[in-house]
Amino acid sequence: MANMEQKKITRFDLFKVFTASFFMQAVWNFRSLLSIGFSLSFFPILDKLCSTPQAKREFFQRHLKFFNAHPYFASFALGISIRLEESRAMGEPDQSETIDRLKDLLIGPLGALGDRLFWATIKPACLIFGMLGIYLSPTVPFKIASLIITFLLYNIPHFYYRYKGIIEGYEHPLDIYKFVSQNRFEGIRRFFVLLFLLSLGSFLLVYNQSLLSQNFWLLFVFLGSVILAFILEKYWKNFYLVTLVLFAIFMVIGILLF
Amino acid sequence: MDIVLLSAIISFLALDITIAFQVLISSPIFACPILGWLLGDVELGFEMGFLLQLLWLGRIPAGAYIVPEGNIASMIATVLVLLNKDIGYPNTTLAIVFIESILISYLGAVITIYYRKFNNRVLEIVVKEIENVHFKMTLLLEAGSVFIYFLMVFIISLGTILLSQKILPLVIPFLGELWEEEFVVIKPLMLGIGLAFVLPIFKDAVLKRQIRKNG
Repeated sequence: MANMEQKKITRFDLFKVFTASFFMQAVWNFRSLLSIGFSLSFFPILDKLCSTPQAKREFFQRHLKFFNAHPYFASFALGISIRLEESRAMGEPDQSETIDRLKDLLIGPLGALGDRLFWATIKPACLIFGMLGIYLSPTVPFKIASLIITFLLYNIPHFYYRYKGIIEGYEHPLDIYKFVSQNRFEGIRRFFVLLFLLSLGSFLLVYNQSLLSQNFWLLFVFLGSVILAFILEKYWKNFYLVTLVLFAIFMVIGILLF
Repeated sequence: MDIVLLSAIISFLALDITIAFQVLISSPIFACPILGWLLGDVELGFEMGFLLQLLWLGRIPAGAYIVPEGNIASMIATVLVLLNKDIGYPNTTLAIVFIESILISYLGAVITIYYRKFNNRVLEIVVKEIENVHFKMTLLLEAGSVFIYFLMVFIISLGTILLSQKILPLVIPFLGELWEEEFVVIKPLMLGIGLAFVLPIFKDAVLKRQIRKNG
């Protein structure tokens, strides 16, 4: 492995890859999934990793193979690939197989971790927090402030893991498994689960109270639609059908009750 | 504001959904107030964002799973509500636009499938260009693919808004005269359906279960 004094890649180079990684899903396709965006994320440092057109061609051919991960957590695979490609560029033994194997091994964990942490916890927690902020804020400036907090609440961990993934992948390419274990993210997950819980609980409390003060039947519509949609969704598993059927049912109820 | 420009802004914000950045700016609570501000009623934009956000939150775009394109639908719905607010009948407008947004979210999901199929072709061209040592061409192809997505959303937005603007001014007063008061159920209904879709992921998050992909 390339030692510290000989390194071609600087922190600023890794930062450039970090900025390019924001287009990771730009050419998402059914055959190779993330591979094009993943490969093109290396573009800012391509000249440092490959000195000849032939080497560049082989580089892209290696990385255009099937690859998938959560878009934020794919940065770990980016960091690993940069480090191993750098070693190769510096004349160390060919690590193509190691890169392929590591990337293949990481597809599952990086996808599962990111999906569970960001899509299923941080994103809904932040957006419901933002909804609550909008609902409770009396004036537009307060609503804007609550949206700014929501934006930061989501994007601080987003940017952090995107960047940190590249750095850690680069610094610890062969023992990356230590950095992508579920336990490592348990603290942040718990924080956002708590936020999710508090935001949803507060929203329900405040909104139900507000409906009750307007008209009891509005509360009936709200709770009735929650229960009915939950049951229908469980059996039908079809977003469009559940939504349209409930709309029809409750419009009829509305006509009958109001 | 010009509808063409509005459609371009919707298409630009839609890039944030998956194509670029993914910083949440395309989510209803962010995008709808922006559109509200551009159309001169930021308060209504906030309200639309609040009402529409929960609906799409329960759909997780894990792996290759294609979810209803709720963010695009919410943006178009907000524009339609804002453009028709002077007709009166706010509940009726919201009820009609809500149904329209569900259909747009379906259309958006179909377009995502075609866009991804189109990207299969882009992959073939990228591989060919790499073979021919035209590396800069790959960046151009990436930019081209992003532009195609922008264009697809632009066409959906412009087409839907133009068509709706022909139909809604006729339908809203007609239905509003009949059922404006009865349609008061639309807001709690939208939030209720949205909440029902969020509950399973909430349960999974609390119980540390693996992600489920609802059909």
